[in-house]
Amino acid sequence: MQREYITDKFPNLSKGPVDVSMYHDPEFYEREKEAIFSSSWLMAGRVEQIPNNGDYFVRTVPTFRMSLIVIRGKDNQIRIFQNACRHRGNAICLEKQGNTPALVCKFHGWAYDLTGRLKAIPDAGGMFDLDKSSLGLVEVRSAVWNGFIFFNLDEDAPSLEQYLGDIGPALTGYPFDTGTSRFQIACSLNSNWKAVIDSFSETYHVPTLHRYSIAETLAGGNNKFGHLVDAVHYGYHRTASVWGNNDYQPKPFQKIAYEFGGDAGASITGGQGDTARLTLPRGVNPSRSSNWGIDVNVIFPNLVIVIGPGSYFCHQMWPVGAGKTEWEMTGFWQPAQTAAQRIVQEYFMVELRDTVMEDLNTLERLQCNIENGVVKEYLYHDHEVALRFHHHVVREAVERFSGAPV
Amino acid sequence: MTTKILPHGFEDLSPFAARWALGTTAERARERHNSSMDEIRAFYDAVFPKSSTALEYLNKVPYDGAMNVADRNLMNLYLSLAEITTAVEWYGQPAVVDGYEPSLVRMPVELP
Ligand code: FES
Ligand SMILES: [Fe+2]
Repeated sequence: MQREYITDKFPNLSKGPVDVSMYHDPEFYEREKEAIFSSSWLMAGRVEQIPNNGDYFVRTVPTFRMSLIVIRGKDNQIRIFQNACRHRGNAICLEKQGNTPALVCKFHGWAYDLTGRLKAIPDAGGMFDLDKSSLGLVEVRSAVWNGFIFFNLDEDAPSLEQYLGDIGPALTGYPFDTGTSRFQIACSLNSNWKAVIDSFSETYHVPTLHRYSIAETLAGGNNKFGHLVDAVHYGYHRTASVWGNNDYQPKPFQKIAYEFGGDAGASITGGQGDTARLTLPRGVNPSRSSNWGIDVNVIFPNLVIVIGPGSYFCHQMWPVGAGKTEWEMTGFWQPAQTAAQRIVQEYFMVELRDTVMEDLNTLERLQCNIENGVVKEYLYHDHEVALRFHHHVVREAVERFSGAPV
Repeated sequence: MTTKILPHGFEDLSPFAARWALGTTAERARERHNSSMDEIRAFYDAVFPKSSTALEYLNKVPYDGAMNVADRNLMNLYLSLAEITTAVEWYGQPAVVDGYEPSLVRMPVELP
């Protein structure tokens, strides 16, 4: 019998070897920064982080060495400002988060209101010909989708809604807002940003690399290679729908964790919480597989939202060079109601962290062998289709921007 | 090491509480990676058999600022069990097998 390829769903993708230069060429990286990161919608954080008027958090953007203030005003509007005083550029917010009635610079005391307007200058008479009304904090375009706060450094870019296209409505309805208990893990990786995304986008590696951890939950049974249940592309965005093993036999502590987790305990290895009882939006488990495990959604360029039946987590990859990436993973759970649920959350956090430590360790070795020129092309498997697509859309975005083949 | 009191019925775990009843994820992860596999296994073997009883007890304890010291110590002890379980049940060694260097992993936000 002829094998059916998932790659055949996407006739614009080749099946041949893929050139690796875009994963290490410094010149290509500069073009990506210009063509992609300077004009894409990038995720700053969640609305649940700033529920009250005057709440703020600071989002650092390593790619541009920028610091942004994300703040909810007295009018309840969320705005984003460059964290830079108009006097001489000191950062206004020095804490990572907080609540404040005004934005006051702690250098010489210039004070701004929560809409960014410059309100007060100490000893203002000593400044020369200032027009206070033109010296507000520099606002950055922002928009909210399903509680995710995005920013865009390009004034002329299309709206967030247009940018997301059909993946926007497809994922709307998933209860992102219930995950108010967050944790975040971060590393500085010697790897190209795309390779970091890729390492979380294919399942071909699951049975081998994750043989100690999640191999049996996302592969096994009649799917020992962990074949995807589906792949869906929405413009530059994409979903890889990953198989889950319904017959998985939990390990000793997992059994206890599943028993006591309740709605607050939910994991990629099977604890399901109450979202398992919800009707999922059409973009989650898009093929309505009865063997669905998780979906890996990539919002172009650098936001990965991994959605499971009972919880979700995000990866963000911030390139700081062709071979260097600041990586953050943020997990979102419903708050623990009991001390036992808190323990279950910790256990699932550890499972996720340790599994990801298996993924991350491959990256520097891959990077080394393309930077030294030993490896010149990648040979993608059918179930690495997300990587082939990633390569394709990045090239297309850079070509579209420069109006010429690259 | 100071003794850390535990709720009635869990006193036999107190030899482990002094070392493992730790209040933050960072401390618990550090203890895991600073311990030998024999030490981790001894802790697991002592504490794991009481997991069901302990979580049943702690499932009646609301997770809020009003927790008493003994309950909090018991919770912290089992949070450490949660930390080291993968070392025992998955890897057979303190660190992830062929994993990323633990000291390079930052945790900017811990679970509340
Ligand atoms: S730099 Fe902010 S007041 Fe001087
Ligand atoms: Fe992986």
